[in-house]
Amino acid sequence: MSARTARLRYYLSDAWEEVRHSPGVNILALTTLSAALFVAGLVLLVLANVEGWIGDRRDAVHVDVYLLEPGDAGERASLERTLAQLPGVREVRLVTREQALERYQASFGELAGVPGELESNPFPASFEVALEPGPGAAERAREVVESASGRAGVDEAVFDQGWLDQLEVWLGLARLGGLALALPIFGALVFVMASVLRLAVYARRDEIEIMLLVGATPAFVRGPFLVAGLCQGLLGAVIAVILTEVGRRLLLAYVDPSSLLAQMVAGRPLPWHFAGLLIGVSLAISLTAAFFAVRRDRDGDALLGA
Amino acid sequence: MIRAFNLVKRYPGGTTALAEANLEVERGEFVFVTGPSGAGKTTLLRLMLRQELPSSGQIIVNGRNVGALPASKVPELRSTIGVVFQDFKLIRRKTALENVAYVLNVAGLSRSEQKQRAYEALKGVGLNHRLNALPPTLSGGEQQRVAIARAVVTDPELLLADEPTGNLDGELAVEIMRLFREINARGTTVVVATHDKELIHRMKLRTVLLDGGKVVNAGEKPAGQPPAGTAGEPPAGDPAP
Ligand SMILES: Nc1ncnc2c1ncn2[C@@H]1O[C@H](COP(=O)(O)OP(=O)(O)OP(=O)(O)O)[C@@H](O)[C@H]1O
Ligand SMILES: [Mg+2]
Repeated sequence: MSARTARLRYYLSDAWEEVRHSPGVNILALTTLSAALFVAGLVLLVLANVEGWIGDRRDAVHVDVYLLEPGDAGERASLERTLAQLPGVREVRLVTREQALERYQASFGELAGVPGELESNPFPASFEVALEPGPGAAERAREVVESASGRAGVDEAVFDQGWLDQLEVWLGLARLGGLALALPIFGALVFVMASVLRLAVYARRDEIEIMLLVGATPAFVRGPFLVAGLCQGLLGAVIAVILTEVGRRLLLAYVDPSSLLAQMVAGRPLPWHFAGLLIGVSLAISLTAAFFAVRRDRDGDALLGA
Repeated sequence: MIRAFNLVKRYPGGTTALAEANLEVERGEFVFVTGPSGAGKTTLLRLMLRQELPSSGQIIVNGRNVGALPASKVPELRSTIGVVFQDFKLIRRKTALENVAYVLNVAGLSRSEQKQRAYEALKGVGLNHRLNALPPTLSGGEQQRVAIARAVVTDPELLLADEPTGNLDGELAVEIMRLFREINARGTTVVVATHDKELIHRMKLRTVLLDGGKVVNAGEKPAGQPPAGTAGEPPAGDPAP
């Protein structure tokens, strides 16, 4: 066993001693950390889901060609053939008035009560023209709109992505706001954690003084505290990630999973790179806090500031 | 090994514990430092260990100007010095064995070596039956012996002992002194602060007298500075090993 691994083993076992010596303080630190990271995890979860949801919508570029009612079957058949032959068109599907109503009800759930109570169905039939996904899809879609508009039996051709653009603007703002908030929150967390960990150091100040007097370097004395902080950071992040996933599943259990809300905020689990981000941030917080908690004072004779 | 030059220590409260003390101790010497309570014995030892900084003057230990030593060099200085503190300074939540092993851990020895040597040192002070006891469960004399074992276990270049026999009865005190002489014979310089006149008298070794923060008598080396365990041994109470 090399000296380095022996030292690491000592740090680990003494870190464990440290945690056992002041459990209250360490539980407080861990709870604070994982609670804050849990909130961050929820924010990241919603962010990832909204982003994913928008992406899905963007991939499915399509033009809605609304038809005049009542329509003529022959006219519609020839329109369908024409649309299908336009460049970039992948598929043309007829959406009947009944299907339109059903879709509306499915995506808006209970809110959709109102049109259902109407005597007649307000939705017109339409052709849904799906385009080949890719960079030129939006351009193709505009061409489809142009050539469909004004044709016999067509009320209106719509390629509407404006709302997606708008949503992305909002999302961008939310991301910026989150980032701007993240920094002070990070600082505050480091401060709180450092204060709490300092209590643990303070509880052992007599012992630390003795260790330094018999020749231990400050780094050697600090080691177990830093290792304890590191473990705390890792554990805090793992707890937060687990809680986030539990929260997501709870939401799906109480809200209809096919509803818009469920899909927009909880459709997919926290992606790995966000979980990794949480763990990284957590380690950064706990290590910085542990470092500040055990930093030496001016003359380096004690680990605790005067 | 040790050189104090016009050493002054004033504590924040205004007490002058050392007032221009001068002292020289050669490598390999065994010296008693004595004097009335409050004379500055403990303060002198604290300055050697850089537990305190001198107010003025110089203290040189093993070639290092201790007062001017950068903080990063302090652990190195301390690891060459074994200390028996007047108040023992044992780590309360570590067992007797762990307390002694800790300094070997600091020195980077393997765990098995730490245990082995800590055990030998505790055996040397007659405590091999209390290895796993925590300091608060030990008697004053037992704690003192754990502190002594910790001070000698690294075979330090310098051994500083502050009233190391204060809590021990006569027979044990003699036993500890014999241990110190053995260590001294292996090359460690030994400085013992004590007001135990009988002990000093029996050992017949160089004795420095401190009073009011000054060295009032630097003492003399016994003739020829006999190596320990041979000629010049005190006639009574110090059976040959
Ligand atoms: N930390 C301190 N702060 C203020 N004054 C102190 C401090 N330590 C010691 N003193 C004072 O300095 C003087 C010398 O103290 P020191 O402990 O060196 O004496 P000593 O010779 O070891 O005494 P004793 O034989 O009782 O152990 C005393 O007057 C003491 O009150
Ligand atoms: Mg004293």
